[in-house]
Amino acid sequence: MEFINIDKTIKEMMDMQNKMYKGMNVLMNIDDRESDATEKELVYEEDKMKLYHYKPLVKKPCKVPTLIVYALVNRQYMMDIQQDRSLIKNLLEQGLDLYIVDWGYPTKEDMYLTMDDYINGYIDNAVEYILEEHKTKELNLLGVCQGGTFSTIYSAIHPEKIKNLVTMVTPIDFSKDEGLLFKWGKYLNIDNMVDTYGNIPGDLMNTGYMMLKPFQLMLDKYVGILENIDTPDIVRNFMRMEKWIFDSPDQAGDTIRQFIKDLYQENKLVKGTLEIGKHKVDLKNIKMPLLNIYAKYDHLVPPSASIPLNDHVSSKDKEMYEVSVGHIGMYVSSKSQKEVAPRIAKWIQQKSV
Amino acid sequence: MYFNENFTNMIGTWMDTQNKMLKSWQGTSNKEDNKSKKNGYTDYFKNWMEMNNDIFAHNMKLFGDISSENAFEKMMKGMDTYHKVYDFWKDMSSMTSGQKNIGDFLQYWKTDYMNNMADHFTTYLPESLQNILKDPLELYKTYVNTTEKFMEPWMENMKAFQESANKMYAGDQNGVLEYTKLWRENYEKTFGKIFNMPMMGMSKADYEEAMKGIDTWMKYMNTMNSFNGSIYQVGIETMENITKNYMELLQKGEQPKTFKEFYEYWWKENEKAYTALFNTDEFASLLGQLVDESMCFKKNFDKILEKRLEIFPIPTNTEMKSLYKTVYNLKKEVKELKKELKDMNKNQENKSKKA
Repeated sequence: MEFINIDKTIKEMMDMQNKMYKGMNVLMNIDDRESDATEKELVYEEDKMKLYHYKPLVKKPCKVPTLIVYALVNRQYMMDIQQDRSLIKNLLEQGLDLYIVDWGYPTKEDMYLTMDDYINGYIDNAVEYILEEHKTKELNLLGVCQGGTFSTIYSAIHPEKIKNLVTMVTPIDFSKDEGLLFKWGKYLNIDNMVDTYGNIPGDLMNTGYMMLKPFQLMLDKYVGILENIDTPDIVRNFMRMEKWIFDSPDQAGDTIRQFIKDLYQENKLVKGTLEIGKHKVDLKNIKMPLLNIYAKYDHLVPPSASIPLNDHVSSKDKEMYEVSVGHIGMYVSSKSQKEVAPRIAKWIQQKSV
Repeated sequence: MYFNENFTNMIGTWMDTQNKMLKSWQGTSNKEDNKSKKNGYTDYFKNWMEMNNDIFAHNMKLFGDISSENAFEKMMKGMDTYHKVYDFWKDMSSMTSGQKNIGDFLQYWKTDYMNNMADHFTTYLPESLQNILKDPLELYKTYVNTTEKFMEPWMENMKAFQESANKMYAGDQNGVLEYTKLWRENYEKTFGKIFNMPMMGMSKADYEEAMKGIDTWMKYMNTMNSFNGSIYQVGIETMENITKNYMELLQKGEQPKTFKEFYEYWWKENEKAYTALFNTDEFASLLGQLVDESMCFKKNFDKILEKRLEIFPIPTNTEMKSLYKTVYNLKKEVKELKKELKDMNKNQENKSKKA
């Protein structure tokens, strides 16, 4: 009886050894400057928030501009991680006119910023700027993850300014128990954390994200790259992604306090009891066309937290789009480039007439 | 073909060589060993504060340490764990040739495996937490020694305590959980009350804060040990399951035939087991409690630190927070006023146009 396949084992190990030697050379010559490379111009800034306008890549871009609102967690260049896997570049090539919000890196002076400041302040000012610039009354809003929650809230408070709403991997119904973040979030004494830290350190949040898949994210990922360390393209892609994963801004204290308490713990958005500044948020105010995109294998925002949005809005024209990818795959996978970007662009173009 | 000794030695030597190569390759990225210096303090409170300082200095490093720059270091650490899994596999395979029985194997690996698990879980944690989580039994012994000195009479009378402690030292993870639970219950009934007692005299407030600091630290460490206990318990159970399953697969001739296959099987089984643990309400609650108690400890520690810094000509965190709040309120007011002005001008323009 053969307990161990010695020939195969030795071959595997010799292969690994060879790769290691070649990998040294690859690592020493790695050059990673490709993220966030699609051409854009800074058009508006306020405190640490910056609004960029991408240079259109077609002669006649969509007449209704589209504003992308990313999450406060991690950085928006995930959507432009590298030129051959850039959702942004792809959308521009499909004819959209894009703006994007860069939230920057909050420091201690930002610890008192609230969700009201982000939504009715920064987002609203960015929207106003674009509307004035384009001499129009409405724009398209595309929200990503937590940025999707903010965009949904914004659309409910200021529906008159939004032509079409697109949400991607967006948590709406926080009562779910499927994602670990949803489960853990319910037990966090966020008041104590914010009172202690002021802003919640991004790296502390990252530690929590890595615990969601401890062996895959803390071990196998690194063992896996060693197996491919002799392939410059794979190493470059890995390093780029690695840089993005750990590029985690701190979270403004009072904003994350409200986000955890009102949403994760009390699910106020769906219950209709959420208040942002002086506004009561009623999802029924959302009457514009809605495209709700979620990832089938999302371990951060489970589909069950995104899907209910369509039941809570008044929009008659609403679509649900399930993509067979994970949370990050929504932006960087080949499926994202081949299917997601064309579908979003087509939907927006059709509704922007 | 049986997994013979020569083959084991050859692959083992190869793995060792590779490990050495990786370490030398890693070279300068190794950080200086930050061993805590021995001190000659006799003052208990000074000692206490120094320990707190060390813990938090390390804890804070964690939050500044995770960056893309150390991806390479993480790869090396990943490889280190990979080698440790190999050692485990190698030893497990020796059972197939009758060199070792399953009982001896499991007993031997319980301690070592736990340390490997500790290494794995701590690699990506802040440095301060890494030190707390690494060598859990060693740390726990230190912890118990400290508390024993401080609370000797109490400890001596707790038979149940000793039994749990004995189980814990013998590597039984249930012992850790029982011990920490018992400890917490008794602590809160007795010494916890002392640390929260009102003080008298000129430095009343300072003493009260210092005592409260001890109390928050005790609670934090106690919960940390329950947390570690639950992590290691699953690790050990998974190791036992993997070993038993491996033996069953072996009977059927379906066992992983190469180390790569075994490694795949090993990490996926572990991932499954930990996902199941993390999904329980008990774990979520324990994690929440751990985070909360670490916050209470830090908050109190920061307060004591601020008190000490008050005599220096630098602003404290509390003073800065007050300033940030003032600036925030002023900025908000200015923004609102600017918006009102803009709207007024717009209305004015519209009226002029209409006129």
